[in-house]
Amino acid sequence: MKVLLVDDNDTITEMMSKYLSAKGHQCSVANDGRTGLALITEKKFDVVLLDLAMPDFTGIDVIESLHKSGKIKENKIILFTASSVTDGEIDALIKKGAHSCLKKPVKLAVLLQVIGG
Amino acid sequence: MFKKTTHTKLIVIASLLPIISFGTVGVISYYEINSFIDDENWVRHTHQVIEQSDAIEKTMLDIETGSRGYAITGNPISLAPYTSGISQITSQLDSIRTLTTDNPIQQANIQKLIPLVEEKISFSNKTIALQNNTGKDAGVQNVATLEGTRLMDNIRQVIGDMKNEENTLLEQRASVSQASAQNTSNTIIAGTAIAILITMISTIAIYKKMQQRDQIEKVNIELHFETEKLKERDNAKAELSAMVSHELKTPLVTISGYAEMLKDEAVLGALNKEQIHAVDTISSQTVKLERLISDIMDAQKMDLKKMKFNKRDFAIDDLMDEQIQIHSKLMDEKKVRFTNSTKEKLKIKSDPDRLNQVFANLIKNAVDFVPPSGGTIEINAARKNGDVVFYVKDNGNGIPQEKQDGLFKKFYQIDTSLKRSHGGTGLGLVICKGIVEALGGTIWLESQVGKGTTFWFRIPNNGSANHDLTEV
Ligand SMILES: Nc1ncnc2c1ncn2[C@@H]1O[C@H](COP(=O)(O)OP(=O)(O)OP(=O)(O)O)[C@@H](O)[C@H]1O
Ligand SMILES: [Mg+2]
Repeated sequence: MKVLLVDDNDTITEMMSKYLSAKGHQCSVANDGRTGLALITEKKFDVVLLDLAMPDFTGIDVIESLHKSGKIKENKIILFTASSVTDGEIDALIKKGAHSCLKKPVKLAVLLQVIGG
Repeated sequence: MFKKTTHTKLIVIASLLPIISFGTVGVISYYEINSFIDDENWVRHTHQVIEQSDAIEKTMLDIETGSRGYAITGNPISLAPYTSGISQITSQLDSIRTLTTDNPIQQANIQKLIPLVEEKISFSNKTIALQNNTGKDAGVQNVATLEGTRLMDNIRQVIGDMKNEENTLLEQRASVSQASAQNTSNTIIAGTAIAILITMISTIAIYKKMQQRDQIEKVNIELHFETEKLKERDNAKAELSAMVSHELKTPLVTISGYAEMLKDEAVLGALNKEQIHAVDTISSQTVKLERLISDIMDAQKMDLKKMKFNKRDFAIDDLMDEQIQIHSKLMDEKKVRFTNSTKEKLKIKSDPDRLNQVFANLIKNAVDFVPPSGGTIEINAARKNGDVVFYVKDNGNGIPQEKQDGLFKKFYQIDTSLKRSHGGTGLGLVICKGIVEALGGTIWLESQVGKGTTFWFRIPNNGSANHDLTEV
Protein backbone atom coordinates (compact mmCIF):
# COMPACT_ATOMS: atom_id res chain seq x y z
CA MET A 1 0.00 0.00 0.00
CA LYS A 2 1.12 3.54 -0.68
CA VAL A 3 0.79 5.42 2.58
CA LEU A 4 1.28 9.14 3.20
CA LEU A 5 1.96 10.26 6.78
CA VAL A 6 1.20 13.92 7.49
CA ASP A 7 2.26 14.99 10.99
CA ASP A 8 4.38 17.87 12.26
CA ASN A 9 5.89 15.64 14.95
CA ASP A 10 8.78 13.91 13.17
CA THR A 11 9.40 11.35 15.89
CA ILE A 12 5.91 10.10 15.21
CA THR A 13 6.34 9.99 11.43
CA GLU A 14 9.74 8.33 11.80
CA MET A 15 8.38 5.66 14.14
CA MET A 16 5.36 4.98 12.01
CA SER A 17 7.14 4.86 8.69
CA LYS A 18 9.63 2.44 10.19
CA TYR A 19 6.84 0.22 11.39
CA LEU A 20 4.71 0.40 8.29
CA SER A 21 7.72 -0.18 5.98
CA ALA A 22 8.56 -3.25 8.04
CA LYS A 23 5.02 -4.40 7.41
CA GLY A 24 5.48 -4.03 3.69
CA HIS A 25 3.92 -0.65 3.04
CA GLN A 26 5.42 2.15 1.01
CA CYS A 27 5.58 5.28 3.18
CA SER A 28 5.90 8.95 2.26
CA VAL A 29 6.13 11.67 4.88
CA ALA A 30 5.05 15.31 5.03
CA ASN A 31 5.83 17.35 8.11
CA ASP A 32 3.33 20.14 7.54
CA GLY A 33 -0.13 20.60 6.12
CA ARG A 34 0.83 22.43 2.92
CA THR A 35 3.39 19.81 1.85
CA GLY A 36 0.85 17.13 2.69
CA LEU A 37 -1.83 18.80 0.56
CA ALA A 38 0.62 19.26 -2.33
CA LEU A 39 1.61 15.56 -2.23
CA ILE A 40 -2.00 14.42 -2.04
CA THR A 41 -2.94 16.49 -5.09
CA GLU A 42 0.16 15.46 -7.08
CA LYS A 43 0.34 11.76 -6.43
CA LYS A 44 -2.03 8.94 -5.74
CA PHE A 45 -1.91 7.29 -2.28
CA ASP A 46 -3.92 4.37 -1.01
CA VAL A 47 -4.09 5.76 2.50
CA VAL A 48 -3.35 9.17 4.01
CA LEU A 49 -2.81 9.41 7.77
CA LEU A 50 -3.48 13.03 8.61
CA ASP A 51 -2.69 14.69 11.91
CA LEU A 52 -5.22 17.41 12.69
CA ALA A 53 -3.24 19.61 15.07
CA MET A 54 -0.48 21.10 12.99
CA PRO A 55 0.70 24.71 13.18
CA ASP A 56 -0.09 27.20 10.40
CA PHE A 57 -1.90 24.90 7.97
CA THR A 58 -3.82 22.32 9.99
CA GLY A 59 -5.24 18.95 9.07
CA ILE A 60 -8.66 20.60 9.08
CA ASP A 61 -7.40 23.08 6.47
CA VAL A 62 -6.14 20.16 4.35
CA ILE A 63 -9.57 18.50 4.47
CA GLU A 64 -11.36 21.76 3.63
CA SER A 65 -9.08 22.38 0.61
CA LEU A 66 -9.54 18.85 -0.68
CA HIS A 67 -13.27 19.13 -0.10
CA LYS A 68 -13.40 22.37 -2.09
CA SER A 69 -11.35 21.00 -4.97
CA GLY A 70 -13.54 17.88 -4.97
CA LYS A 71 -10.54 15.57 -4.67
CA ILE A 72 -11.28 14.28 -1.23
CA LYS A 73 -12.97 11.04 -2.27
CA GLU A 74 -9.96 10.03 -4.38
CA ASN A 75 -8.08 9.23 -1.16
CA LYS A 76 -8.77 7.20 1.95
CA ILE A 77 -7.95 9.80 4.54
CA ILE A 78 -7.63 8.70 8.16
CA LEU A 79 -7.63 11.49 10.70
CA PHE A 80 -5.20 11.23 13.56
CA THR A 81 -5.69 13.32 16.68
CA ALA A 82 -4.87 13.57 20.38
CA SER A 83 -8.20 14.89 21.68
CA SER A 84 -7.66 18.55 20.85
CA VAL A 85 -10.58 18.29 18.44
CA THR A 86 -14.19 17.76 19.49
CA ASP A 87 -16.30 14.84 18.35
CA GLY A 88 -18.56 17.31 16.60
CA GLU A 89 -15.68 18.64 14.53
CA ILE A 90 -14.59 15.10 13.66
CA ASP A 91 -18.11 14.23 12.53
CA ALA A 92 -18.10 17.31 10.32
CA LEU A 93 -14.78 16.30 8.76
CA ILE A 94 -16.03 12.77 8.11
CA LYS A 95 -19.12 14.25 6.45
CA LYS A 96 -16.79 16.25 4.23
CA GLY A 97 -15.20 13.02 3.04
CA ALA A 98 -12.57 11.87 5.56
CA HIS A 99 -12.65 8.09 6.02
CA SER A 100 -12.33 7.67 9.77
CA CYS A 101 -10.53 8.91 12.86
CA LEU A 102 -7.92 7.38 15.13
CA LYS A 103 -7.22 8.73 18.60
CA LYS A 104 -3.62 9.17 19.74
CA PRO A 105 -1.98 7.17 21.19
CA VAL A 106 -3.00 4.36 18.90
CA LYS A 107 -2.00 0.73 19.02
CA LEU A 108 0.15 -0.02 15.97
CA ALA A 109 -1.79 -3.24 15.44
CA VAL A 110 -4.98 -1.21 15.18
CA LEU A 111 -3.33 1.21 12.78
CA LEU A 112 -2.26 -1.69 10.59
CA GLN A 113 -5.79 -3.03 10.58
CA VAL A 114 -7.30 0.30 9.56
CA ILE A 115 -4.80 0.77 6.74
CA GLY A 116 -5.69 -2.70 5.55
CA GLY A 117 -4.26 -4.20 2.40
CA MET B 1 -34.19 37.27 35.87
CA PHE B 2 -36.03 40.16 37.43
CA LYS B 3 -39.76 40.86 37.18
CA LYS B 4 -39.45 43.20 34.28
CA THR B 5 -43.03 42.57 33.14
CA THR B 6 -44.65 43.88 36.34
CA HIS B 7 -42.51 46.98 36.00
CA THR B 8 -43.63 47.60 32.47
CA LYS B 9 -47.24 46.94 33.45
CA LEU B 10 -47.04 49.42 36.31
CA ILE B 11 -45.52 52.10 34.13
CA VAL B 12 -48.15 51.60 31.44
CA ILE B 13 -50.96 51.81 33.99
CA ALA B 14 -49.40 54.85 35.63
CA SER B 15 -49.16 56.63 32.28
CA LEU B 16 -52.68 55.67 31.26
CA LEU B 17 -54.34 56.88 34.49
CA PRO B 18 -53.88 60.63 33.83
CA ILE B 19 -55.09 60.18 30.26
CA ILE B 20 -58.15 58.31 31.48
CA SER B 21 -58.94 60.84 34.21
CA PHE B 22 -58.56 63.83 31.87
CA GLY B 23 -60.67 62.02 29.31
CA THR B 24 -63.39 61.42 31.90
CA VAL B 25 -63.34 65.08 32.94
CA GLY B 26 -63.62 66.05 29.27
CA VAL B 27 -66.61 63.79 28.61
CA ILE B 28 -68.48 64.92 31.75
CA SER B 29 -67.78 68.57 30.91
CA TYR B 30 -69.02 68.06 27.39
CA TYR B 31 -72.39 66.78 28.65
CA GLU B 32 -72.61 69.46 31.31
CA ILE B 33 -71.94 72.23 28.81
CA ASN B 34 -74.46 70.80 26.38
CA SER B 35 -77.20 70.76 29.01
CA PHE B 36 -76.21 74.30 29.99
CA ILE B 37 -76.58 75.40 26.38
CA ASP B 38 -79.97 73.70 26.32
CA ASP B 39 -81.12 75.60 29.38
CA GLU B 40 -79.90 78.82 27.81
CA ASN B 41 -81.89 78.07 24.69
CA TRP B 42 -85.03 77.75 26.77
CA VAL B 43 -84.38 81.15 28.35
CA ARG B 44 -84.00 82.70 24.94
CA HIS B 45 -87.18 81.00 23.80
CA THR B 46 -89.13 82.53 26.67
CA HIS B 47 -87.83 85.96 25.71
CA GLN B 48 -89.05 85.36 22.17
CA VAL B 49 -92.56 84.51 23.36
CA ILE B 50 -92.70 87.67 25.48
CA GLU B 51 -91.48 89.80 22.55
CA GLN B 52 -94.07 88.25 20.28
CA SER B 53 -96.85 88.93 22.85
CA ASP B 54 -95.76 92.58 22.99
CA ALA B 55 -95.77 92.73 19.22
CA ILE B 56 -99.33 91.38 19.04
CA GLU B 57 -100.49 93.94 21.60
CA LYS B 58 -98.84 96.70 19.61
CA THR B 59 -100.38 95.49 16.34
CA MET B 60 -103.84 95.45 17.93
CA LEU B 61 -103.24 98.99 19.18
CA ASP B 62 -102.21 100.01 15.62
CA ILE B 63 -105.41 98.49 14.20
CA GLU B 64 -107.47 100.39 16.76
CA THR B 65 -105.57 103.66 16.25
CA GLY B 66 -105.90 103.39 12.44
CA SER B 67 -109.64 102.74 12.44
CA ARG B 68 -110.33 105.35 15.10
CA GLY B 69 -108.25 108.00 13.31
CA TYR B 70 -110.07 107.26 10.05
CA ALA B 71 -113.45 107.58 11.81
CA ILE B 72 -112.50 110.99 13.13
CA THR B 73 -110.64 112.43 10.13
CA GLY B 74 -112.12 110.57 7.21
CA ASN B 75 -108.68 110.81 5.68
CA PRO B 76 -107.49 107.48 4.18
CA ILE B 77 -103.90 108.32 5.26
CA SER B 78 -105.05 107.81 8.86
CA LEU B 79 -105.81 104.19 7.93
CA ALA B 80 -102.07 103.31 7.46
CA PRO B 81 -101.49 101.75 10.98
CA TYR B 82 -104.66 99.73 10.52
CA THR B 83 -103.60 98.34 7.16
CA SER B 84 -100.10 97.33 8.32
CA GLY B 85 -101.60 95.82 11.52
CA ILE B 86 -104.03 93.66 9.54
CA SER B 87 -101.24 92.46 7.30
CA GLN B 88 -99.11 91.37 10.28
CA ILE B 89 -101.55 89.98 12.81
CA THR B 90 -102.16 86.55 11.22
CA SER B 91 -98.51 85.69 10.96
CA GLN B 92 -97.86 87.02 14.47
CA LEU B 93 -100.58 84.80 15.89
CA ASP B 94 -99.24 81.80 13.94
CA SER B 95 -95.76 82.43 15.17
CA ILE B 96 -96.75 82.66 18.83
CA ARG B 97 -98.80 79.50 18.44
CA THR B 98 -95.82 77.56 17.14
CA LEU B 99 -93.51 79.03 19.75
CA THR B 100 -95.77 77.73 22.53
CA THR B 101 -96.89 74.38 21.12
CA ASP B 102 -95.25 72.64 24.08
CA ASN B 103 -97.14 74.73 26.65
CA PRO B 104 -100.91 73.90 27.05
CA ILE B 105 -101.57 76.97 29.24
CA GLN B 106 -100.32 79.29 26.51
CA GLN B 107 -102.26 77.33 23.88
CA ALA B 108 -105.42 77.91 25.92
CA ASN B 109 -104.55 81.59 26.22
CA ILE B 110 -104.10 81.82 22.47
CA GLN B 111 -107.45 80.07 22.04
CA LYS B 112 -108.95 82.85 24.15
CA LEU B 113 -107.00 85.56 22.36
CA ILE B 114 -107.93 84.66 18.80
CA PRO B 115 -111.76 85.33 19.08
CA LEU B 116 -111.01 88.58 20.90
CA VAL B 117 -108.63 89.61 18.15
CA GLU B 118 -111.21 88.68 15.49
CA GLU B 119 -113.95 90.57 17.33
CA LYS B 120 -111.70 93.57 17.69
CA ILE B 121 -110.82 93.50 14.00
CA SER B 122 -114.43 93.19 12.94
CA PHE B 123 -115.28 96.07 15.30
CA SER B 124 -112.61 98.18 13.63
CA ASN B 125 -113.92 97.07 10.22
CA LYS B 126 -117.40 98.11 11.27
CA THR B 127 -116.12 101.55 12.31
CA ILE B 128 -114.42 101.96 8.94
CA ALA B 129 -117.48 100.76 7.02
CA LEU B 130 -119.78 103.19 8.94
CA GLN B 131 -117.43 106.01 8.09
CA ASN B 132 -117.41 105.02 4.44
CA ASN B 133 -121.10 104.43 4.00
CA THR B 134 -123.00 106.42 6.56
CA GLY B 135 -120.60 109.30 7.15
CA LYS B 136 -118.17 110.55 9.62
CA ASP B 137 -120.49 110.78 12.65
CA ALA B 138 -121.68 107.19 12.45
CA GLY B 139 -118.04 106.03 12.70
CA VAL B 140 -117.32 108.28 15.64
CA GLN B 141 -120.49 107.12 17.33
CA ASN B 142 -119.42 103.51 16.95
CA VAL B 143 -116.08 104.33 18.55
CA ALA B 144 -117.85 106.16 21.30
CA THR B 145 -119.78 103.00 22.32
CA LEU B 146 -116.55 102.06 24.12
CA GLU B 147 -117.07 98.53 22.76
CA GLY B 148 -113.62 98.86 21.13
CA THR B 149 -111.99 99.89 24.38
CA ARG B 150 -113.58 96.94 26.19
CA LEU B 151 -112.29 94.51 23.53
CA MET B 152 -108.83 96.02 23.68
CA ASP B 153 -108.83 95.70 27.47
CA ASN B 154 -109.77 92.02 27.14
CA ILE B 155 -106.95 91.49 24.64
CA ARG B 156 -104.51 93.25 26.95
CA GLN B 157 -105.74 91.07 29.76
CA VAL B 158 -105.08 87.84 27.86
CA ILE B 159 -101.69 89.02 26.60
CA GLY B 160 -100.85 90.06 30.13
CA ASP B 161 -101.71 86.53 31.31
CA MET B 162 -99.50 85.10 28.61
CA LYS B 163 -96.60 87.33 29.55
CA ASN B 164 -97.06 86.48 33.22
CA GLU B 165 -96.93 82.79 32.39
CA GLU B 166 -93.78 83.32 30.37
CA ASN B 167 -92.19 85.40 33.11
CA THR B 168 -92.81 82.64 35.65
CA LEU B 169 -91.27 80.19 33.21
CA LEU B 170 -88.41 82.56 32.60
CA GLU B 171 -87.65 82.74 36.29
CA GLN B 172 -87.69 78.94 36.57
CA ARG B 173 -85.59 78.47 33.49
CA ALA B 174 -83.10 81.10 34.45
CA SER B 175 -82.53 79.49 37.81
CA VAL B 176 -82.14 76.02 36.18
CA SER B 177 -79.71 77.48 33.71
CA GLN B 178 -77.74 79.17 36.44
CA ALA B 179 -77.63 75.95 38.46
CA SER B 180 -76.44 74.06 35.44
CA ALA B 181 -73.78 76.70 34.79
CA GLN B 182 -72.66 76.31 38.38
CA ASN B 183 -72.71 72.54 37.99
CA THR B 184 -70.61 72.64 34.86
CA SER B 185 -67.99 74.86 36.41
CA ASN B 186 -67.93 72.74 39.58
CA THR B 187 -67.50 69.55 37.61
CA ILE B 188 -64.72 71.02 35.50
CA ILE B 189 -62.87 72.43 38.48
CA ALA B 190 -63.20 69.33 40.68
CA GLY B 191 -62.55 66.92 37.79
CA THR B 192 -59.48 68.81 36.68
CA ALA B 193 -58.19 68.95 40.24
CA ILE B 194 -58.64 65.20 40.66
CA ALA B 195 -57.03 64.51 37.27
CA ILE B 196 -54.06 66.70 38.16
CA LEU B 197 -53.69 64.86 41.45
CA ILE B 198 -53.80 61.49 39.70
CA THR B 199 -51.24 62.71 37.17
CA MET B 200 -48.94 63.83 39.95
CA ILE B 201 -49.24 60.50 41.75
CA SER B 202 -48.70 58.61 38.51
CA THR B 203 -45.68 60.70 37.62
CA ILE B 204 -44.16 60.05 41.01
CA ALA B 205 -44.94 56.33 40.70
CA ILE B 206 -43.40 56.18 37.23
CA TYR B 207 -40.36 58.07 38.40
CA LYS B 208 -39.88 55.66 41.30
CA LYS B 209 -40.32 52.63 39.05
CA MET B 210 -37.90 54.06 36.52
CA GLN B 211 -35.36 54.56 39.25
CA GLN B 212 -35.87 50.97 40.38
CA ARG B 213 -35.60 49.75 36.86
CA ASP B 214 -32.40 51.68 36.29
CA GLN B 215 -31.05 50.10 39.42
CA ILE B 216 -32.05 46.62 38.29
CA GLU B 217 -30.63 47.24 34.86
CA LYS B 218 -27.36 48.30 36.39
CA VAL B 219 -27.23 45.16 38.50
CA ASN B 220 -28.17 43.12 35.44
CA ILE B 221 -25.40 44.59 33.39
CA GLU B 222 -22.92 43.97 36.17
CA LEU B 223 -24.11 40.39 36.51
CA HIS B 224 -23.86 39.96 32.78
CA PHE B 225 -20.26 41.14 32.81
CA GLU B 226 -19.46 38.86 35.72
CA THR B 227 -20.94 35.83 33.96
CA GLU B 228 -19.10 36.73 30.78
CA LYS B 229 -15.86 36.94 32.71
CA LEU B 230 -16.50 33.62 34.37
CA LYS B 231 -17.40 32.06 31.05
CA GLU B 232 -14.24 33.42 29.50
CA ARG B 233 -12.23 32.03 32.37
CA ASP B 234 -13.94 28.67 31.99
CA ASN B 235 -13.25 28.66 28.30
CA ALA B 236 -9.63 29.57 28.88
CA LYS B 237 -9.40 26.74 31.40
CA ALA B 238 -10.97 24.28 28.99
CA GLU B 239 -8.67 25.37 26.22
CA LEU B 240 -5.64 25.07 28.45
CA SER B 241 -6.57 21.59 29.59
CA ALA B 242 -7.27 20.45 26.04
CA MET B 243 -3.85 21.74 25.06
CA VAL B 244 -2.11 20.14 28.03
CA SER B 245 -3.83 16.84 27.31
CA HIS B 246 -2.74 17.05 23.70
CA GLU B 247 0.84 17.89 24.61
CA LEU B 248 1.00 15.06 27.15
CA LYS B 249 -0.47 12.50 24.84
CA THR B 250 1.69 13.24 21.81
CA PRO B 251 4.93 11.83 23.28
CA LEU B 252 2.96 8.78 24.35
CA VAL B 253 2.29 8.01 20.72
CA THR B 254 5.97 7.33 20.04
CA ILE B 255 6.67 5.73 23.41
CA SER B 256 3.86 3.21 23.14
CA GLY B 257 4.48 2.79 19.41
CA TYR B 258 8.15 1.88 19.87
CA ALA B 259 7.32 -0.42 22.79
CA GLU B 260 4.88 -2.25 20.58
CA MET B 261 7.37 -2.34 17.74
CA LEU B 262 10.10 -3.77 19.98
CA LYS B 263 7.93 -6.71 20.83
CA ASP B 264 7.32 -7.41 17.18
CA GLU B 265 10.25 -9.55 16.03
CA ALA B 266 9.48 -8.84 12.43
CA VAL B 267 10.18 -5.13 12.83
CA LEU B 268 13.21 -4.61 15.06
CA GLY B 269 14.40 -8.13 15.65
CA ALA B 270 14.07 -10.53 18.55
CA LEU B 271 14.54 -9.55 22.21
CA ASN B 272 15.67 -11.61 25.15
CA LYS B 273 13.38 -12.38 28.08
CA GLU B 274 14.47 -9.48 30.25
CA GLN B 275 14.26 -7.03 27.40
CA ILE B 276 10.75 -8.25 26.74
CA HIS B 277 9.88 -7.68 30.40
CA ALA B 278 11.28 -4.14 30.21
CA VAL B 279 9.24 -3.40 27.11
CA ASP B 280 6.10 -4.85 28.68
CA THR B 281 6.56 -2.59 31.68
CA ILE B 282 6.98 0.43 29.42
CA SER B 283 3.81 -0.57 27.60
CA SER B 284 1.68 -1.08 30.69
CA GLN B 285 2.94 2.10 32.34
CA THR B 286 2.21 4.03 29.19
CA VAL B 287 -1.35 2.76 29.23
CA LYS B 288 -1.64 3.90 32.87
CA LEU B 289 -0.21 7.29 32.07
CA GLU B 290 -2.60 7.71 29.18
CA ARG B 291 -5.54 6.77 31.38
CA LEU B 292 -4.38 9.18 34.05
CA ILE B 293 -4.25 12.02 31.55
CA SER B 294 -7.76 11.16 30.38
CA ASP B 295 -8.97 11.03 34.00
CA ILE B 296 -7.53 14.42 34.82
CA MET B 297 -9.14 15.82 31.72
CA ASP B 298 -12.48 14.24 32.66
CA ALA B 299 -12.31 15.60 36.21
CA GLN B 300 -11.53 18.98 34.72
CA LYS B 301 -14.50 18.68 32.38
CA MET B 302 -16.68 17.71 35.33
CA ASP B 303 -15.66 20.94 36.96
CA LEU B 304 -16.55 22.86 33.85
CA LYS B 305 -19.70 20.83 33.29
CA LYS B 306 -18.54 20.17 29.79
CA MET B 307 -18.30 16.42 29.63
CA LYS B 308 -19.99 15.05 26.57
CA PHE B 309 -22.86 12.61 26.91
CA ASN B 310 -24.36 10.48 24.23
CA LYS B 311 -27.59 8.83 25.32
CA ARG B 312 -29.09 5.93 23.46
CA ASP B 313 -31.22 2.84 24.05
CA PHE B 314 -29.29 -0.22 25.10
CA ALA B 315 -29.61 -3.45 27.06
CA ILE B 316 -28.27 -3.28 30.59
CA ASP B 317 -27.68 -7.03 30.74
CA ASP B 318 -25.36 -6.74 27.72
CA LEU B 319 -23.49 -3.95 29.45
CA MET B 320 -23.08 -6.16 32.52
CA ASP B 321 -21.83 -9.13 30.49
CA GLU B 322 -19.34 -6.81 28.83
CA GLN B 323 -17.87 -5.91 32.22
CA ILE B 324 -16.94 -9.54 32.77
CA GLN B 325 -15.24 -9.68 29.36
CA ILE B 326 -13.43 -6.38 29.71
CA HIS B 327 -11.99 -7.19 33.11
CA SER B 328 -11.46 -10.94 32.79
CA LYS B 329 -7.74 -10.65 32.12
CA LEU B 330 -7.19 -8.38 35.12
CA MET B 331 -9.27 -10.66 37.37
CA ASP B 332 -7.27 -13.69 36.26
CA GLU B 333 -4.03 -11.89 37.02
CA LYS B 334 -5.20 -10.86 40.47
CA LYS B 335 -6.92 -14.20 41.10
CA VAL B 336 -10.23 -12.54 41.90
CA ARG B 337 -13.58 -14.30 41.52
CA PHE B 338 -15.55 -11.81 39.43
CA THR B 339 -19.28 -12.45 38.91
CA ASN B 340 -22.30 -10.79 37.39
CA SER B 341 -25.46 -11.63 39.34
CA THR B 342 -27.88 -9.64 37.14
CA LYS B 343 -31.09 -11.60 36.59
CA GLU B 344 -33.41 -9.20 34.79
CA LYS B 345 -33.31 -8.25 31.17
CA LEU B 346 -33.28 -4.45 31.21
CA LYS B 347 -33.42 -1.84 28.52
CA ILE B 348 -32.85 1.83 29.26
CA LYS B 349 -31.87 5.01 27.55
CA SER B 350 -28.67 6.41 28.96
CA ASP B 351 -24.99 6.70 28.05
CA PRO B 352 -23.44 3.18 28.05
CA ASP B 353 -19.91 4.46 27.39
CA ARG B 354 -20.02 6.65 30.47
CA LEU B 355 -21.54 3.83 32.52
CA ASN B 356 -18.65 1.62 31.39
CA GLN B 357 -16.35 4.32 32.68
CA VAL B 358 -18.09 4.27 36.07
CA PHE B 359 -17.82 0.50 36.25
CA ALA B 360 -14.16 0.59 35.20
CA ASN B 361 -13.33 2.94 38.05
CA LEU B 362 -15.32 1.06 40.70
CA ILE B 363 -14.02 -2.33 39.59
CA LYS B 364 -10.43 -1.10 39.46
CA ASN B 365 -10.77 0.20 43.02
CA ALA B 366 -12.34 -3.05 44.21
CA VAL B 367 -9.57 -5.11 42.62
CA ASP B 368 -6.98 -3.05 44.45
CA PHE B 369 -8.62 -3.55 47.84
CA VAL B 370 -9.70 -7.20 47.86
CA PRO B 371 -7.42 -9.61 49.77
CA PRO B 372 -4.55 -11.10 47.73
CA SER B 373 -6.24 -14.47 47.84
CA GLY B 374 -9.92 -15.26 48.01
CA GLY B 375 -10.96 -11.89 46.65
CA THR B 376 -14.48 -11.69 45.24
CA ILE B 377 -16.19 -8.94 43.30
CA GLU B 378 -19.84 -9.07 42.33
CA ILE B 379 -21.69 -6.72 40.01
CA ASN B 380 -25.44 -6.42 39.65
CA ALA B 381 -28.17 -4.38 37.98
CA ALA B 382 -31.87 -4.41 38.92
CA ARG B 383 -34.93 -2.37 38.17
CA LYS B 384 -36.33 -0.17 40.89
CA ASN B 385 -39.28 2.19 40.36
CA GLY B 386 -38.44 2.73 36.73
CA ASP B 387 -34.77 3.42 37.47
CA VAL B 388 -31.92 0.96 37.35
CA VAL B 389 -29.83 0.39 40.47
CA PHE B 390 -26.33 -1.00 40.02
CA TYR B 391 -23.78 -2.20 42.52
CA VAL B 392 -20.16 -3.29 42.66
CA LYS B 393 -19.51 -5.35 45.76
CA ASP B 394 -16.15 -6.48 47.07
CA ASN B 395 -14.87 -8.35 50.10
CA GLY B 396 -11.97 -5.94 50.60
CA ASN B 397 -10.78 -4.20 53.72
CA GLY B 398 -13.64 -1.70 53.76
CA ILE B 399 -13.75 2.02 54.43
CA PRO B 400 -14.24 3.41 57.94
CA GLN B 401 -17.43 5.40 58.43
CA GLU B 402 -15.66 8.67 59.21
CA LYS B 403 -13.68 8.52 55.96
CA GLN B 404 -16.62 7.87 53.71
CA ASP B 405 -17.70 11.49 53.36
CA GLY B 406 -14.48 12.64 51.75
CA LEU B 407 -14.37 9.82 49.21
CA PHE B 408 -15.97 11.78 46.41
CA LYS B 409 -13.60 14.70 46.77
CA LYS B 410 -10.86 15.28 44.27
CA PHE B 411 -7.45 13.70 45.03
CA TYR B 412 -8.85 12.16 48.20
CA GLN B 413 -7.20 8.96 49.31
CA ILE B 414 -7.83 7.28 52.58
CA ASP B 415 -4.51 5.79 53.34
CA THR B 416 -1.52 7.29 51.67
CA SER B 417 0.59 4.36 52.82
CA LEU B 418 -1.59 2.15 50.66
CA LYS B 419 -0.48 4.15 47.72
CA ARG B 420 2.14 1.65 46.85
CA SER B 421 -0.28 -1.19 46.37
CA HIS B 422 -3.06 1.09 45.07
CA GLY B 423 -1.47 3.46 42.61
CA GLY B 424 -4.29 5.93 42.13
CA THR B 425 -4.57 9.69 42.08
CA GLY B 426 -7.86 10.08 43.91
CA LEU B 427 -9.88 11.05 40.86
CA GLY B 428 -11.80 7.87 40.10
CA LEU B 429 -14.73 8.39 42.45
CA VAL B 430 -14.96 12.10 41.59
CA ILE B 431 -15.44 11.14 37.97
CA CYS B 432 -17.97 8.42 38.90
CA LYS B 433 -20.04 10.87 40.92
CA GLY B 434 -19.84 13.47 38.17
CA ILE B 435 -21.00 11.05 35.50
CA VAL B 436 -23.79 9.48 37.57
CA GLU B 437 -25.16 12.86 38.57
CA ALA B 438 -24.92 14.20 35.06
CA LEU B 439 -27.02 11.25 33.97
CA GLY B 440 -29.61 12.27 36.57
CA GLY B 441 -28.68 9.64 39.15
CA THR B 442 -27.04 9.27 42.55
CA ILE B 443 -24.09 7.30 43.90
CA TRP B 444 -23.52 6.05 47.45
CA LEU B 445 -21.77 3.28 49.34
CA GLU B 446 -22.07 0.81 52.15
CA SER B 447 -18.91 -0.40 53.78
CA GLN B 448 -17.80 -2.34 56.81
CA VAL B 449 -14.16 -2.38 57.84
CA GLY B 450 -12.75 -5.85 57.36
CA LYS B 451 -15.82 -7.15 55.49
CA GLY B 452 -15.98 -5.22 52.28
CA THR B 453 -17.45 -2.36 50.36
CA THR B 454 -20.43 -1.99 48.05
CA PHE B 455 -20.73 1.01 45.76
CA TRP B 456 -24.30 1.65 44.56
CA PHE B 457 -25.49 3.91 41.82
CA ARG B 458 -28.95 4.57 40.54
CA ILE B 459 -29.56 5.71 36.96
CA PRO B 460 -32.96 6.93 35.75
CA ASN B 461 -34.28 5.70 32.44
CA ASN B 462 -33.82 8.53 29.96
CA GLY B 463 -32.49 10.47 32.93
CA SER B 464 -32.59 14.14 32.33
CA ALA B 465 -29.08 15.39 32.64
CA ASN B 466 -28.26 18.11 35.12
CA HIS B 467 -25.61 19.10 32.67
CA ASP B 468 -25.32 21.17 29.61
CA LEU B 469 -24.62 18.43 27.18
CA THR B 470 -21.85 20.32 25.53
CA GLU B 471 -18.49 19.00 24.73
CA VAL B 472 -14.94 20.26 25.06
N1 LIG C 1 -13.63 -0.66 47.03
C1 LIG C 1 -12.89 0.08 47.86
N2 LIG C 1 -12.44 -0.46 49.02
C2 LIG C 1 -11.68 0.27 49.87
N3 LIG C 1 -11.32 1.54 49.66
C3 LIG C 1 -11.73 2.13 48.54
C4 LIG C 1 -12.55 1.45 47.59
N4 LIG C 1 -12.80 2.29 46.57
C5 LIG C 1 -12.18 3.44 46.87
N5 LIG C 1 -11.53 3.36 48.04
C6 LIG C 1 -10.79 4.45 48.69
O1 LIG C 1 -11.19 5.66 48.14
C7 LIG C 1 -10.08 6.38 47.64
C8 LIG C 1 -10.48 7.19 46.47
O2 LIG C 1 -10.80 6.39 45.36
P1 LIG C 1 -10.73 6.96 43.93
O3 LIG C 1 -11.15 5.92 42.96
O4 LIG C 1 -11.47 8.25 43.93
O5 LIG C 1 -9.23 7.34 43.72
P2 LIG C 1 -8.04 6.34 43.49
O6 LIG C 1 -8.54 5.01 43.18
O7 LIG C 1 -7.11 6.51 44.62
O8 LIG C 1 -7.36 7.02 42.19
P3 LIG C 1 -7.83 6.90 40.69
O9 LIG C 1 -9.10 6.11 40.65
O10 LIG C 1 -7.99 8.30 40.27
O11 LIG C 1 -6.72 6.22 39.97
C9 LIG C 1 -9.08 5.32 47.32
O12 LIG C 1 -7.78 5.81 47.34
C10 LIG C 1 -9.33 4.34 48.42
O13 LIG C 1 -8.63 4.72 49.60
MG1 LIG D 1 -9.85 4.58 41.71
